[in-house]
Amino acid sequence: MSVLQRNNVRLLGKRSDPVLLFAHGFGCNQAMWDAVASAFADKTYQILFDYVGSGQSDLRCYQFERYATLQGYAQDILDICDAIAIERDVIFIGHSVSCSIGVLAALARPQLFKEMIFLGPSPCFLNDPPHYYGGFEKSDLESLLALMNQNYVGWAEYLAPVVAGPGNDSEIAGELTDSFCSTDPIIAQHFAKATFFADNRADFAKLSLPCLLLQHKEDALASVSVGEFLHQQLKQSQLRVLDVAGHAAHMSHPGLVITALQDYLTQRNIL
Amino acid sequence: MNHTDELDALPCALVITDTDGKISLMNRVARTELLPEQSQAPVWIDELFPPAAKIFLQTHVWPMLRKTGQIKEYYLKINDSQGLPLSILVNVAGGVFADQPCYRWVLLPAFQRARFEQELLNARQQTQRYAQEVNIMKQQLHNILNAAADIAFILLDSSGVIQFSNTGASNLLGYSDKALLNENVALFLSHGQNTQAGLLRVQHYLQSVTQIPLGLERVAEFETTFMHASGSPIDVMVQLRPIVGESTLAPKQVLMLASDISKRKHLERIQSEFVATISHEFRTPLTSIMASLTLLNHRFADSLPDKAKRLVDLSLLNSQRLKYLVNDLLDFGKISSGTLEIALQSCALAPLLDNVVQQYLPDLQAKKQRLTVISSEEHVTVCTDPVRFAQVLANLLSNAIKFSPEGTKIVVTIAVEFTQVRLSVEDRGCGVKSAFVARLFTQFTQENSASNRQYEGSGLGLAICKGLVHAMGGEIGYQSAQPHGAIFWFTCLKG
Repeated sequence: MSVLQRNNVRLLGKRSDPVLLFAHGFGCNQAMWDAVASAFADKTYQILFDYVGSGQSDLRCYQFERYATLQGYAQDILDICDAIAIERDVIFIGHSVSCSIGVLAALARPQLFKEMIFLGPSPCFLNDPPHYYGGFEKSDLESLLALMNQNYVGWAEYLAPVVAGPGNDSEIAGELTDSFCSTDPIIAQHFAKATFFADNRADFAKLSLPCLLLQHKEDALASVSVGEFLHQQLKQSQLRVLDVAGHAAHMSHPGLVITALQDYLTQRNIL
Repeated sequence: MNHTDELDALPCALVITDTDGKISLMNRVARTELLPEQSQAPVWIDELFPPAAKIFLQTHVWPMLRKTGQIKEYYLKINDSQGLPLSILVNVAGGVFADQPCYRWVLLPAFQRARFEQELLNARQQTQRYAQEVNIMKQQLHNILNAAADIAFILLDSSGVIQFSNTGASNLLGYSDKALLNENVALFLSHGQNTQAGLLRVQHYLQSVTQIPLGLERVAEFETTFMHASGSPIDVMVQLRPIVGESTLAPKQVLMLASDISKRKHLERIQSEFVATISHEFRTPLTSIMASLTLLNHRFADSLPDKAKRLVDLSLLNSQRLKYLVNDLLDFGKISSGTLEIALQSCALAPLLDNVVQQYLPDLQAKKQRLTVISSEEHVTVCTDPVRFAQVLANLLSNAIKFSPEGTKIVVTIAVEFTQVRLSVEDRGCGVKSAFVARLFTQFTQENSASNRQYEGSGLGLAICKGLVHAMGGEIGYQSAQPHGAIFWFTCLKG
């Protein structure tokens, strides 16, 4: 099993062009980036992939120990770059938890990345009063795991076949598990724990690469204040607040994200 | 009736938002059930949900909605008008509202289903936990059994097929656990004369344990010989125990525990060979002493003074005792060195019994004792070596006569039990003190030196009986009789 198959890696464009590596967030897969990535198709070399355990990755490669922390996911990124023999100048574009994963990868291999672009980053989802408010209490995150349990395991996997009766189960049972947010319920729980209980504030503080922080104006998951916190921590960062409600501007308002990326990459003399 | 009134009339909560999630309209049910009184109307749909559901909305619902344009039956928690979490099922579909693209959020209560789901979920998790525990326990058990590397644990089904064996079994027998699995126990018990009696006893135990009602099975313990994979014999102490199945209907299994006693047996053999040699050497001079004394007694009886004659009689009596002792020693030596030959055959029990009884009629008459034979069945046949069988029975009978007072009754009982026949000899003597019972069948033991003088005997009789009975695939034992007296019993295989 090659890493490229394992992580369902898609490589687009010319190898000589600037390299963009798109990393998806928790809950979905690389398709989240489709609208944004296609806007840069003719002038960049693009790496899209699914983390092991997400999307169309090979679930057989999922190791609970390795993916118990975000470090395991960061290793996925390093593995992919090694597999396609890319050693430098990667422009990392991550969404949500992938921002933290990208930071871990960059700290492990500083020369690999040239620029870091973070969409909706949060170094820590938990509140840590009085100086840091990630937005959530531990009990909120535990309720999230219960909700996931009921949506993945409770209904989609376990109950639907019972309700639909034998022979009719595949269609309903597949509603969530085979869909866009598809992933194994147990793995999803595991990823959720790694994501929402992580505290990578110290790691962000160590990052010395130039970064662009894109924060959503109304974001229940990663508020503008979290973006401001990061902007303070990251010496070479620019903060841009997108006039977007929600946590996934690349899906809901791809145009805004494309413009922000275009502006930044032009300013950095990359495009 | 305008459009808003229609929506208000719906029996479920409906929220209409723009494509970003900004609320355009909440119907009456949504307003009354989800909004606290006199509060500011929420702007975004996310605001209706508690934190956990907010994350789920952002990580699952919204991406899914944008990708597929609709959401079916997502389970979420929402805050009710009291601020308490309420379980709901969410259905979202795209549409047009006030000439703008919109999402229609239908929120259905999901109490019952939530509870049902939760119960199922709990049950499922419980099952997983149990399964995990079982696995851990299984592994622990396995480790423990394998850690006992010098004891063989072999699990047999009712036909003697090996279901499980530990590392100790592999070490002892020289076969891997895979090689032992599904093999019959005869694999290491059927090769030679030494192992034959062991096989008979195991087979008998397996048969009886399946026939005897649950809870009444006994543990069998005996010494025997296994055959190592290399072909060399190994002396072992074997214990057979019934294993209670998961239900009373499940076929019973038998746990065989075996430990290597080669070293001890080797020492015993050296000792026995020495005893055998010595006793043989004793016999030659003893024979000539006895011949001389007999001659003295017969031919010169008249010419001997009375005092000398008494001394000759005493010498003769003690030479006789010495002869018995030497013969017993020889027998015992053969049994313990494993050189005793046993030829099992099927024979009728009645004539065997008669022969022995006839032999002891004079002794019975001399002590005015009555012998009664009670049999549960007529025409019983046994699988035994007739000569050795007679030797055992004679020994028990002579003990009974010897240790019972004059004029008492001796009862021989024959009981047919499943696959074996049990013979008991009951007397009305003084019985055996409980402290002594454990040593009853070991060599050179008599209860006290006084009785040794009062009653003739080498102290080897019962040890020889035990050796013979075991070699013929049976058991031997003692229990006290009521109100007093002794019951010695032994079993042999049914013919």
